[in-house]
This record gives sequence, structure tokens and C-alpha cells, in this order.
Amino acid sequence: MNTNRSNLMWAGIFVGPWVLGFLLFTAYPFFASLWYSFTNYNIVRDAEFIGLYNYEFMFFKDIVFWVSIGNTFYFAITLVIFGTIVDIFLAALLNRKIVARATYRLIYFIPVLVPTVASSLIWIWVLNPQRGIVNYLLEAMGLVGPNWLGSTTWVKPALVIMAIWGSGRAIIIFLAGLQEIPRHLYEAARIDGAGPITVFRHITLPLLTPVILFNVVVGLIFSFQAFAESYIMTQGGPANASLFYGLNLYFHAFENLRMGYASALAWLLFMIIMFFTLVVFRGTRRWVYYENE
Amino acid sequence: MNSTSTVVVTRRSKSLADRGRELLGRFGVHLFLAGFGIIFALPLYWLFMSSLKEQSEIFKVPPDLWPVNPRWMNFPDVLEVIPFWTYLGNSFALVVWSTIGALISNTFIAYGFARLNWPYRDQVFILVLATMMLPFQVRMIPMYIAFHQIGWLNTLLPLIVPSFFGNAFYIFLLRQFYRTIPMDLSDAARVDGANELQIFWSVVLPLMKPAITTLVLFEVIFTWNDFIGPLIYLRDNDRYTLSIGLRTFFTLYGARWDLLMACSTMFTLPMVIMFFFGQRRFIEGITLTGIKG
Amino acid sequence: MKLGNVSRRKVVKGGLLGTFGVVGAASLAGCGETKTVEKIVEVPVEKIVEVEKIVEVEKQLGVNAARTDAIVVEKVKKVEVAASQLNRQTVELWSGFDPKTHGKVGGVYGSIIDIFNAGNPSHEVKHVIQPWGQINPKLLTSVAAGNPPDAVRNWYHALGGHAEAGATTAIDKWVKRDAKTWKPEDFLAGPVAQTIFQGKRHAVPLSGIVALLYTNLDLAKEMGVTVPANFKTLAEAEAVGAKLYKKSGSKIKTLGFSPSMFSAPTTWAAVWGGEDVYDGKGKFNASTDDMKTLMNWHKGYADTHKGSELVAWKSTYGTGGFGRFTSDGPLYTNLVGMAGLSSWWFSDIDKQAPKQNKQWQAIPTSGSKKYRTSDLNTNVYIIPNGAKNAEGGWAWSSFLTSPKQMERKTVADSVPAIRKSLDTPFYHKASPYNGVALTDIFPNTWKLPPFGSYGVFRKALGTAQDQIYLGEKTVDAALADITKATQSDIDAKAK
Repeated sequence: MNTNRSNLMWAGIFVGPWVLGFLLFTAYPFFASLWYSFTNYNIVRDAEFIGLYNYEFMFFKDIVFWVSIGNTFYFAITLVIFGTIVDIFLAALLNRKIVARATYRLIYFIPVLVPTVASSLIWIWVLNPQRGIVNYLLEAMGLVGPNWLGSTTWVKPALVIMAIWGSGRAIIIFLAGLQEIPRHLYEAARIDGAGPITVFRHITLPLLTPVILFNVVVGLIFSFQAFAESYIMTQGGPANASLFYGLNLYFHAFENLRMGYASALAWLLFMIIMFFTLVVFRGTRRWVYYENE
Repeated sequence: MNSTSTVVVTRRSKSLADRGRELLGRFGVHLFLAGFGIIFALPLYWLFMSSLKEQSEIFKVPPDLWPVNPRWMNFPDVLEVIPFWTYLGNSFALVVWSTIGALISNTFIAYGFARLNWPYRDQVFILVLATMMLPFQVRMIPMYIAFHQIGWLNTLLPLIVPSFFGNAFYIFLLRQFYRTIPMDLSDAARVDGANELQIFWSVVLPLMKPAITTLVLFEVIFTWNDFIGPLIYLRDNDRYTLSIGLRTFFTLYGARWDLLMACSTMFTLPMVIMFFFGQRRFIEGITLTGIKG
Repeated sequence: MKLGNVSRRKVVKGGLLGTFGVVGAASLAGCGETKTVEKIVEVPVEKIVEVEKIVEVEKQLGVNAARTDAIVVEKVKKVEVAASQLNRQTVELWSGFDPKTHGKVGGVYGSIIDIFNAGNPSHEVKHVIQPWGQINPKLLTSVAAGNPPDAVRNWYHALGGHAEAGATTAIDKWVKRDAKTWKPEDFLAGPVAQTIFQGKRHAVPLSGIVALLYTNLDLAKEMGVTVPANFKTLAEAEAVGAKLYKKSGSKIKTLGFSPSMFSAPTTWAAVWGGEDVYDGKGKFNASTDDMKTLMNWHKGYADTHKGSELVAWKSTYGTGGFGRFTSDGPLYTNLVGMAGLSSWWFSDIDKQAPKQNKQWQAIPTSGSKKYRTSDLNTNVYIIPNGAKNAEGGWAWSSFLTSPKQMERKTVADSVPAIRKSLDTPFYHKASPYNGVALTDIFPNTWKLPPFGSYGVFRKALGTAQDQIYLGEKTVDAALADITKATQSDIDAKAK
């Protein structure tokens, strides 16, 4: 067949654009932001090298840094846990052969298509304490709805609920995962007299673990970077209760003009994401089932 | 989706009790799906109803569940309050150019990873996937500074040009598709003396239509929804995309929920319509990247 | 006056048409200066007629500025054609005064630009409309890129940050040069103080956004609540607010008096004399006696009136001026019995509730030794660092802040920073709150100098206020947080 040389040439032609893009849009900013993280830089004046000061500032001087870490972990972990449960549950229901399945699927999927800015506005309005439909319905059920976005207790759950509402993508992935599970396993279990819950626990769930892993990793990466919703809806309030890591970073970069410090924050975020991704993958040995093993 | 129907033939005749249980089960499934479905549909219902309310009605406590006198004029009114057509034009330009960029670059690059053999290919591919883990925030500041230095701020270029250099997610997506096309086809063409470009263009690409549709759908929705990119790079009102325009509208008219909801509806609708046309490809794309990873 | 001066230098070079410009500038500035008129002889007669017409209109403006603006614009447009033949330098001006969305102010602003352009022989303003929220981020990148505009409409609260970042030009040299025509002494002390950064003038003061206490007397009467002619203390105001709240059956949450009304938390800090927090030399401390009194008052208010409701209210309307455009706001249904208002609301409220009996007054202090009434967020013009036509930026900024133009512009907008403009029969008539601003607010404005970490301070103060309303932090802890956040930012930026 082809010689090695011509193979290399074609690889260069096809993959070359990616290499160029990688150098320009990934490698360069990756290292540049590392450099900026050691400087004091406000874009008007030249960057000044200040060693590790930005990192020192982050851990010991920035009083909202730890608040933002706490908020982000709360959001990420709650969202991943509850999101996964709700999504699997809905996917399992959608997997049943029932009437109007396509319609149901559509209802769960449409929120994915709503642009972030629109969905943020919709949720501000839906959660309005006096005029929103959520508290109206809660009141009809005899419950007193909270102040949602105006409450330090409820603002994060509100954002988690909103994120789950928009998680139709994950539902579709779970659904596909469920359909991959061979029918004969279910049939066999049924013959053995296993109930639906037993079947779910011992067949569905173990076979779904690779998909769960995928969604957990994607969910974590996504929620650690959360920015737009809280930026539009709460600006981090009330009392910094929805000040997420990405929001704090944005404020420092573009409102307080400390580009150097913001770069340091970005680098730490990268390391946090790396760390958690590795932890999740490491842990997978214990709970993810691979067919080929 | 998969060929399970052959297994179902083993259906045995059922006892009456079995049938009753099954009926109840089905009812339960519908109950849950409909219940959750209402919750999922509620925000969009509220969006649409609010967009038809009069200004005086929108602030009523308790709120009306639907407008007493639907006011369709809210939609044309939005056009008078904000330069909707300008925003739409910018969004449109962004979507078209980014999609062209993504289409050209990714089909090309993914081909290099899926259908060419070259040393360290799989290692490089892991590097491609790894870039997905790099948070946007790490690139944000150096890219902002770089684009500012070459005078691209306040233009669509920082949002469009990178799409011409490939994107890890799409490369992954297309690679999955490319791998389903038998290598024999390429080999046969090679024997006939075709070079890789010819094979790419006239043998493989024609078989990639579904994949290309998927990519286009994803890219259109992504760029249409994008918020943080335009937020950082665009400064002038007449350069804004719809997502930034809507957010500016919100900060200026924070209490005109009638118009805000009407505008949000107009912003969301094109995506929903598009989804109806490309539903199958869309779900296929999500499944392929989420399951077969 | 000042334009007479600036342009006289140009006359020598400017020749025939340049001379014509001098007439326009001198008369249009409304100062009636005649020193330069000796050279008019060289100007074609019909042009002089045009100019004289404008002068005529200008005179009328003293009676009713707003009504004749349209006439001026028309006349000026014609003169502009002639003026455009001059070899002039462009002044790129940024502001958010979009005539489409700013009603009367937008129109008036445009007409002032027309007048400037018709009259100035050396500079021509090119107005670039920017959304207000984008002006500051865009300004910094343009300075960094080396292509900033020549004049930018700005605010005190952002000035410190800009000046520290090196984005502004000190204007002292021009002030010194044009000392005869543009005098800082003409301006009120408060606004002037707010333009001085580390001993140098970094902005031209224009007008102030001041806060006042507004009371809907009709509503109070309807509810059977008597309102004193002037609240001496905030406790008095609170008591009346509580009565209103009670009489409404506690159903309408907005009826009464709310300390969270101001979207800028610094307004209340100013009321309590919080300017001691910063010494102007790098030392910041929020735990002053005045700030403690302030925060304790917030706490007391939250304890009696449910602070969580206040925060929820803010979360819905915070960015929209507390329901300024809503039925909750004072404008549509007049539900709010008493509210703190910023000056730019005044024109709205008069328009929305023209027949309503209103009471305006300075916000009384409570328990403070000093008497301060407002943070007075002074509107300013800055000339960015590296502006290509900085001279033109100054020409425009000082032109706009001349008494005549100030008088016209601020009718529908905010309170002018020039004593002379403020104290005219015309302005007294045009704005009912004017008396309060002149006697109570301007002499007592906040004296906190602009500094680079002002934005961080403001944000931290807002958070502290939230925390106290929600009972999440003690007053001392909240104040300590403000100090820590602001001081560490000051230190980091000085690194």
C-alpha cells in the first residue's frame, strides 16, 4: 500500500489545521495564562512579574475565594447526584414501550434548545416569589414557596433545578444506554422471577455504569465552569450565595481588571477539573462494568 | 435502534393477574412521565403565556394562569424597543460562518484521525480529547488579550475564526461516524489510484451526510446560544448577537417582563423549529458521542 | 468665554471661515463676549444672519430651553454645512445618550453637540453612542489598544479605577491654561472633590446623581397617616412608613419605607458619613463608628420589617431600579408611600404622577455626628489616556459644562454641578427638587475620594448589607469583611 512517507504527508494535510489551531487557540493561551498568573496585569499597563503572589492572595487574602469554592462544589455535587438520579429515572420510564413515547421525549428534550439567556430570564420570572407560577402552584397545594433567588438557602437549589430542567441531553444518552442493554438479560431475569426493582439494581444499573461515568465526568466539567446563569440571574447574590468560581473569575478579569489574578484562578480551576476527572476515572475500577473485561 | 424485536417472539400467554399488573405498571409509567412532563413544560408554558400578557396583567398578584386578553402586539413591540433585526443579523452571520468553519475543518481533521494510519495517531487523538477538559476560563484571558492586540475585539472574528481549526468534540463525533464506513471502500479506491483527497471527497464524504447534518445542528445551536463569547468580545450595540442583546434588554428594562418574554420566545423558537426538522440526527449525534465513547 | 479663548488662537490660522467659527462659538456659548467680534467683517453677511438667529434662539432658551431646542437644531444644521468646510479635527465622544431611547435628554444632548459643531472652528464632535453598561469595559480596552476616544461620559464610582489603571488624562494643564474661562470655583465643592484622584484632576464634573427621600402625600392622606413637613430623623420616617404598611393590611409589601431602595449601597454609607473609611493614601478601614451605626440601623430595620423580604425584592428588581417601571414602583400605581429616589427618577415620577402631591427632602441622618446626605455619584467627562485629540476632548467637556449648556441639558436629567446654573429662576421652576439639592445636598456631599478599589468596596458593601438583612453575619464581622476585601485589593494592585 502507501509508503510511510506519503502516509505522513496526508496526515499532515488532514490533521495540520488542527495542529495549527491547537498551537494558536489552546497551547498558546494555556501557557500564556500560566505566565499571566505570575503577574500583576490590568491590560492598560504592562504586566509585572510578582511571583506567586496571586496564588498567595487566592488562598489567604481573597475572602470570597473560599465562598466561591464552597458554592461551586455544592452546585456541582448536588447537580451531578440529583441530575443523574432524575435523568436515569426518566430515561428508564422513556425506555418502556408505551403510547406517546415520542411526545414525552420531546417535552424532556426541548429545554435543551432554549438559549441560556432566554432560560435564565424564564427562570427568574417563573421563580418570582409573588408572581411566578412556581410559588403560585405551591400555594395552591398549601405550601409557602421560598424567595428562591432572593434567599441564600434556596438560590443554589433553584439553579440546580434549572440545570436539571435543561439536562435532556443526558436523558437521551441514558436512554440510548438503556437500549444497548441486551433484551435477553431481562427476559432471563424475568424467567428467574426477579421483580422490576431487582432487575434494575442487578442488570440495568451495572450495565449502565459506563454511561453514568460519562455523564458524571461531563456534568462535573460543566458545573465547575458554571457562569452564565448566575451572571445573568443573580450576579452572585444574595450575600454571595450564588457566587460561583467562574463568576468570581469573571469579575476579577473584566470588572476589577486584575487579569493576572484571574489567570491564576483559571489555572487553579483547570487543576481542580483535572483532579476530579482523574478521581472519577480511578474510582471507576470499582463501580464501572465493562463488557469486555 | 437495535434489533431486539426478534427476541420478543418468546412472549408467553399471560395470566389475568399478570395482565392487570402490567396495565397498572403502564399506568404508573404514564403517571410519572406526565407528572414530570408537566414540571418540565411549565417554564416554557409560562414563557409563552407571559409573552402574551399585557403590561398591567403581568404584575398581578396572584398571577393569571393565562392571559385574559392575549396581546400579540408584544411581539412587534419588541422590534420597536430593541434593534432586534440587527441582533438577528449578527447572530445569523455568526451561525453561518461558524458552521461553515466547523464543517470544513472538522470533516477534514477527523478524517485524518479515523481513516489514515500514522505514527502516534492515537496518542495525538488523546491530546485532542484532553483539550475538552481545559476550561474555557483558561483560554479566555490570553485570547482576549491576543484578539485585542490584533484589533479583533468588537468583531465576530474571535468567535468565527477558531471554528476553522477544528473542535475536539466534533472531531470525536465525526471520527465515530467515519469508523463505521468500511475501510475496503477506501482501499479499493486506492488500488484504483485515487489519492487521499479524492477518496475523502468522492468516496467517504458522500456517505457522511447524516454525520454532517448532526454537526450542523450542533454547531448552529451552540453558536446561536453562545453567551460568554459574545459577552467578552463584542462591545457595540450594533454588533451584538441576540443573546447579548437580550441580556442588555434585560438590564435596561428589567421590569418589562411582557416584552422580555416575547423576545425570549422569538429567540428560542428558531431552535425548536430546527430541532423538529433534524430531530433524528440530533439524537443520533448525542447518542454516538455519549455511548460509544 | 472659554471657547472665545480657545478659538482665538486658531483664528490666526483659520482665516475667513475660521473667523466665522469664532462668532458662533462665542455667542453660542451664551456668554455674549464681544472681544472677538472685531473680525467679523470678513464673514459673508448671510452667515452672520444665520448666527444671529441662533443667538436669538439662545436668548429664548433662557425662558424655556426644552421647547426651543428643535428650532435650534434646525438653525444649527444650516450653519453646520458652512462649518463643515473648515479643516477641523474630529472629537470622538462616547456616551449612552441614544436619542431613540433617552427621550428628551437624548434630543437635547444631540442639539448641544450640533451647537458645538456649528460654532467650534477647530473641533468637530463625532458622537458614538454606546450602551451605558459597555462604556467602561470598552474604554479600558481601547486605551490599551492605543485607539481611545477623545471624551467619555463617565461616573465618579468608576473614576478611581480608571485613573489608577492609567486610563485617564490629568486635566490640570488645561484648567491652568484656561483659568479665565473655566473655573473650578464655579462648580459646587462636592462634585469637584469627586474628580480629584491622588491630588490631580482626572475629570470634568458635570452633574450629580443625588438621592432624595420622596413621600407620596396623597397616599398618606388617604391612609390617614400624617406626615411631618420634613423628617428630622430617619426614625421618624420609619415610623410613618410602618404606619402606612400597617394601614394597608400588610398586604402590599411595598407600601411604606424601605432602606434597600437604593441600588447603590454607598448611598446609605454616605448618609452616615462613611467617607472616613479611606484615608486617600492606601489605608482602608470600614469599621468606623459611623459605619457601625449605619449597619446597626440596617440590622434594626431588617429585624422589624423582615430583611428577607427586602432581599427578595432586590433579587427581582435590583437592576431595574427597584421596580421603577413596574406597578410595584412608585410610578405606575403610586403604591410606595415613601422611597429613596435618585435624581434621574425625578423626571419620570413627575411625568407618571403629575398631579400627585409629593414631598422631596434630603435624607435625614440618624445618630451621626456629621451631616451628610448623599454619595452624589457625580457624572463626569474624562479624556482617555492616549486620546488622539485630547485638546478636542477638553474643548467639548468644558463646553458642555459651561453654565449655558448645563442649564439646557440637565433640565430633564440630573442636577447640574454648577452653582450658577442651579440657582436660576428657570431651573428652580423646571425642577421642584432643585431647592433641596442646592441647600441640603451639594454642600454636604460625600468626601470619599475616588480610589482604585472603589468598585470592590462597593460590591463588598452590598454583600455586607445583604448579609445583615438576612441575619447571616454580625455587624462587626460584616464590616471586617469589607475592610479585608477592599484593603487586600488595594495592596494587590499596588504590588
